[in-house]
Amino acid sequence: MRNSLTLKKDYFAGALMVLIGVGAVLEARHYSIGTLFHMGPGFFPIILGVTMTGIGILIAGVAATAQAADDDQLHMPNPQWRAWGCILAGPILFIILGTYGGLIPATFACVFVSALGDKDITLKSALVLGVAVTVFGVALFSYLLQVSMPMWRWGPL
Amino acid sequence: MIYSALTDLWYGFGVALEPHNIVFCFLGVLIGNIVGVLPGMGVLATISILLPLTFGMKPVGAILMLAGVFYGAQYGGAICSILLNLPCHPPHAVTCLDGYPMTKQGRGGVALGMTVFASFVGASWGITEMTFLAPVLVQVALKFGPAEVCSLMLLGLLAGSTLARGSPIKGVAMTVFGLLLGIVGADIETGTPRFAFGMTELDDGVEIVALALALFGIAEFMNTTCGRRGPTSSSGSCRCCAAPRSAASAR
Repeated sequence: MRNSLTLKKDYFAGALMVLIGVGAVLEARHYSIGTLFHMGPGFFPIILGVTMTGIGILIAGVAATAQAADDDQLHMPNPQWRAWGCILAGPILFIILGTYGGLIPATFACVFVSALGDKDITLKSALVLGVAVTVFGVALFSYLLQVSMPMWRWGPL
Repeated sequence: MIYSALTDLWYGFGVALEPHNIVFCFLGVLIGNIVGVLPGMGVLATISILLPLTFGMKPVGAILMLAGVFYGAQYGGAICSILLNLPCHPPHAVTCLDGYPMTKQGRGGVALGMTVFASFVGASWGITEMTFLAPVLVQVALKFGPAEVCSLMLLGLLAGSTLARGSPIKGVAMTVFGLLLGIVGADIETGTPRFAFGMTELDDGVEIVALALALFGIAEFMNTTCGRRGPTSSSGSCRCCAAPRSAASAR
């Protein structure tokens, strides 16, 4: 039998739920709660936040009493940090370049960097993929749908 | 009461089965099907987009066509849920649970056929019940107050959360999280923006299509980066490489 102090996955799941619940309550404090007869905009969010916190504690509590299963461990069998970094960086780059650079550099950077996360991909195929998606995106969003986002730009809005 | 219902039904069938009306209805089902397959095109969106088609038509034909669009779009959503594991709008999420595994076994056609049959039986039964029981139901409906509506919602939410695989508590947790996400946006009663964090885009709430597509992306991301890729994982978890591609082509 394993030591009961091992960090089980569900402890983190519970903690995350508590975090979300407490966050919801903290944010909902600013809205008026009202009374039971005249509920304000903050009434339901606070109820949900409190429920969420309770469920989070419950999840962690159940995990504490249950036997540790094999897949309960936090250990990932084969973590791929490169994929984590690249895929998370993709959308962030899109946001930054989309604000300061326009549609073309943002799309290309997002697709190119995300594609680099695949450890089997070559630089050339990532480039081809990035160019293809950019051309497709520009044709669809700029020309066909006329989305009001400049293709090229320099500097903030 | 039943007699009048039967006479009305007879008259209704007489009108609906006139050749030109049935052609309009067929067209409606066809178009509804084609549009309903696209992810994010729910029944309401489809009908509102296709509404202008009926402007020049006679009322009966127009209503029959819109009815056809309604059922066609309803069924069209199921096609995409079964074949791509991509629920086009919320009610089809359940279809994915059984339909997509059948596609993986190569029996997608059977699943589609079953859906047609089930939709037909369900819709016919519902309409028949509505026709004959409506006068009785009216009396019950008037007694259906806020407390009853609230308990019904609670039942639905709890039943929905137990549909999830794995532990029921986590299902309930995710349901509550979903409700919290649903709160984002302007309050219906007072118009106060809630959880918008000063972003005017969030006043409208979180877009369900964007959220659903993002969830597919996250599932795929987790599968890839946690190294769970392989023959052991592909049976249980939903790996849907088709999702981003089909979504991109639908836009």
